[in-house]
Amino acid sequence: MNVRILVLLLTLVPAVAAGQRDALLPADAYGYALRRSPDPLCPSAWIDLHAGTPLGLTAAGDADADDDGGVVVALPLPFEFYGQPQSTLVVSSNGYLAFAEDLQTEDGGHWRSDCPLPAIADNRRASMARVHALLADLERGPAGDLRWAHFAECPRVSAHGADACSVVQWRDWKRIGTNGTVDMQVVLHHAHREIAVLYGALDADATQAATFGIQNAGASSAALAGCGTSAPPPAFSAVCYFDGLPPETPADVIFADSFDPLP
Amino acid sequence: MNPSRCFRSLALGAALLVSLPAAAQVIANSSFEGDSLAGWTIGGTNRVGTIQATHVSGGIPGGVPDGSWFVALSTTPSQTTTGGTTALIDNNTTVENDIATLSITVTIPFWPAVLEFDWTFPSSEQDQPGQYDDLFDVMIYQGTPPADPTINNRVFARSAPRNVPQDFSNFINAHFLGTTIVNRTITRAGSPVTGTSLTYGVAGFRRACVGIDLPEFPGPPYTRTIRFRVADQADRQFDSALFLDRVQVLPGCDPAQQMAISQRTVSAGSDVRLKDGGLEYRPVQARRLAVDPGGRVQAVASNANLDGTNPNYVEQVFIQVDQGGWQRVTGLVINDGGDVQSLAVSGTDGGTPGRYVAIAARTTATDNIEIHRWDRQTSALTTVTSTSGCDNTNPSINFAGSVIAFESTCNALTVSGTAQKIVLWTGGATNAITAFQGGGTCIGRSPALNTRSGQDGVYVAFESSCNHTGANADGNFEIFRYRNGGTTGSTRFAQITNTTGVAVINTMAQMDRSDSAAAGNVFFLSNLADPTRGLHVFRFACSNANCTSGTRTQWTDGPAGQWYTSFRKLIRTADNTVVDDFVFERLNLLSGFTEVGHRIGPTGIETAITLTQPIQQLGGGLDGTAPVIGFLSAQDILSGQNTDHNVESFSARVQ
Repeated sequence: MNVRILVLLLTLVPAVAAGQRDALLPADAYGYALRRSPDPLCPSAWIDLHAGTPLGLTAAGDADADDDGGVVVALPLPFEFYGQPQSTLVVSSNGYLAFAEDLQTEDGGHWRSDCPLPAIADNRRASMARVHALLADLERGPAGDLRWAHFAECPRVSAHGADACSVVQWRDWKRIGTNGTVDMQVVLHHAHREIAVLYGALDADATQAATFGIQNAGASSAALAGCGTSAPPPAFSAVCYFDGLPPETPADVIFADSFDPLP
Repeated sequence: MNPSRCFRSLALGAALLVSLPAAAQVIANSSFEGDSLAGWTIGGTNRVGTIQATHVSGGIPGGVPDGSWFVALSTTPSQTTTGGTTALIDNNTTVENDIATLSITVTIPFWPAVLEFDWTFPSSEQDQPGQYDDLFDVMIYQGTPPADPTINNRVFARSAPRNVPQDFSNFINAHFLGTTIVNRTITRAGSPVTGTSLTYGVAGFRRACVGIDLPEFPGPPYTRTIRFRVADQADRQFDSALFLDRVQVLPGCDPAQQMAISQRTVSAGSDVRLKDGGLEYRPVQARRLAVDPGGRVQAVASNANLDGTNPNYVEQVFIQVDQGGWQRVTGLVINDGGDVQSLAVSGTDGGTPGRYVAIAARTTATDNIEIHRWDRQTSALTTVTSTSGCDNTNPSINFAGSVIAFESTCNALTVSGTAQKIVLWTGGATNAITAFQGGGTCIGRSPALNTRSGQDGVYVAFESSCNHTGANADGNFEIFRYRNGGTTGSTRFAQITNTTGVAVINTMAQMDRSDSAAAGNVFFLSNLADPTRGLHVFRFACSNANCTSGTRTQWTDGPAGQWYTSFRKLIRTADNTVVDDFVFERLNLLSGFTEVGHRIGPTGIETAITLTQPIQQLGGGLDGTAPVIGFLSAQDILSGQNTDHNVESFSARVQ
């Protein structure tokens, strides 16, 4: 065997094996699969949300609303989450979305990071069907901005192709008691049931021991991207959750060039 | 009962939990090894002697607990018909004869203290008429022995087991040995107990543990005489014998030695957090429990992280089958601040034991309490009630899980304003709920459905202050039975108790299986026989379909100062046989300890464990023919497994 080919094979085997594992095994019991950038299926394509709708929070309890609060967003299109169509969500000051009808069902509050997932949340009125973009005790920073927008044609193309999306954005949010700031977006691709969490600036103080992942309404199934002492997503990266197997990864150029059968 | 004494005894129980110093060998000759009665004094007929298993034909089932020797106290061997002193020991009017005693005086270097001993009480009186109810007791005193029929010094007592339900003595029956005659005999040449005839053989030793901090004799010094005594009631014939071994005075009891006990949950620590500007402390604990009729399925409401999904210690409902892993009821997620009010578990349906779990819970801190039904087989949650501004509580579920009876203060369900009434959910396509108690301000509470029969869930027993049959004009809480279906009108109601006066308590109604009126019996706790003697278990056996007449039988009795605080009637699911089994919790006001056990109806045959503090919640089932008791306790019952004294779930299996 050609030595160069052998070396190439040895180099590629772990990657191929890893790719097969990711492709064949869902990330949770329900069947969500998880990808991270720079996986080509999960690009970190930040969406310009300047024209989005600002969101004002309502306090969950005695704490200030921008510290511990939520706001209801009615989705123009239903979004299927763990097999259940959802038409409203509550955006929390603490870095998560919960699929819930109102603030009586989900108040947006939070005390401790839930680790691991799935986990029963500890706020007084809680829906367990959640997207934890960065679950931690967060609050609006001095320049903090919370907004959302819906796009009939999403500026970020889903791995499955173009569709409509709803986007929630926390900008200049901060971890309580620190100067660590957070910029992040959650993109809900309606047609393809794909969730992309896009991260901008992420200060290490903000991400420490935070929880990243999704879980179902019964808190019995979850796709966990990180929590506790595991490494958080890096700044300017993306984490994507696919309901079922994601589409095939585009063919590896080196692999194709080297092993495609000759014409 | 002297209230201060009760309080003191309870305080002892609490104290025992805090600190149990290392055991000291207070009784040097505790096991009679070396054929020795050194340190002990025998009295009465002096028919007391040390023997070994080989001296008993057929031996000792399970062997001798400690070493090879033990002591036997006989009611005089060989049917001796003359001699000996007499007494009235057990507070009835029948004379006891052939009294033999074994006593020892000890100085106890620690306090409080308990007496722990292994015992068995075989008797040839087992098939004899009721009045020949031989007995033994254990008394603690200082100086002169108390005169009979003084009961305050008695810390333990049993009478002969019986072949047929009859309980002449006021003492609880000893182990039942079955009805097969085996004709065992004690044979040891020269021994005072040789020739003792034991027609039904000998049961294995069992361990008892009782508190001995009787307030009549305050200390220090803590010098006490411990006296074991046997007696032949009503005649001098038919032998009985008390076998004793490993008699010890200790700082605390070890209940695990008394029954096969499992600690089903293990939770650690407590939860402290700042929330909404305040400091919030929450112990990690189990709070509610239910057991299926087959004794295999435990449902527990706990804020422990039993399945790994509850790191924030929010109370949830968890299920455990056959002591496997805990599984959370994922269809009903309870928010922080919500809680479970009550649980009930159905029988086996579709091959799934304890298939349906009825749950009364508020899912948020500010919610009202609603009833839900969780199907373990399909993981489907049925919303039984959906109300607001009122509560639905204390569900009871039938064997098939198709009927739920519960309390409601919701006018939409009761048509009775805010007055609490019992309603019946019969499900089906219409999610039907039936209000049957009528209007008015009277109250219904604590429903219990019948189970396991062709009329599963047709009958419900409950407490009510309503005048359903015209016989409760004074509005006392009485026990009623209601039949859902059949002839309409008041004949559907049967009033089981009819008492007067505020001192009478009728509570905790239970039902049997009921494929016939005679088996549709109602059980309840009451002090109706004697308001001064605490609560006991009663059975009302219906004699006709409407249960307008029947026979009431008191199923529990015993030394004064036994107060039943909870019980659960068991049904046999294996063959649908009507059985008299129930599990109970009772407070022994003499010792201050709680006794949890299994008992077979009026025979008084029981097995119990002694705990130093009351349990929380009681459930039970029959796994085949083996009784299984479920309960919650903060005690470190299995030494070292609950040292933080969180409230945990336990089960005790009667072997």
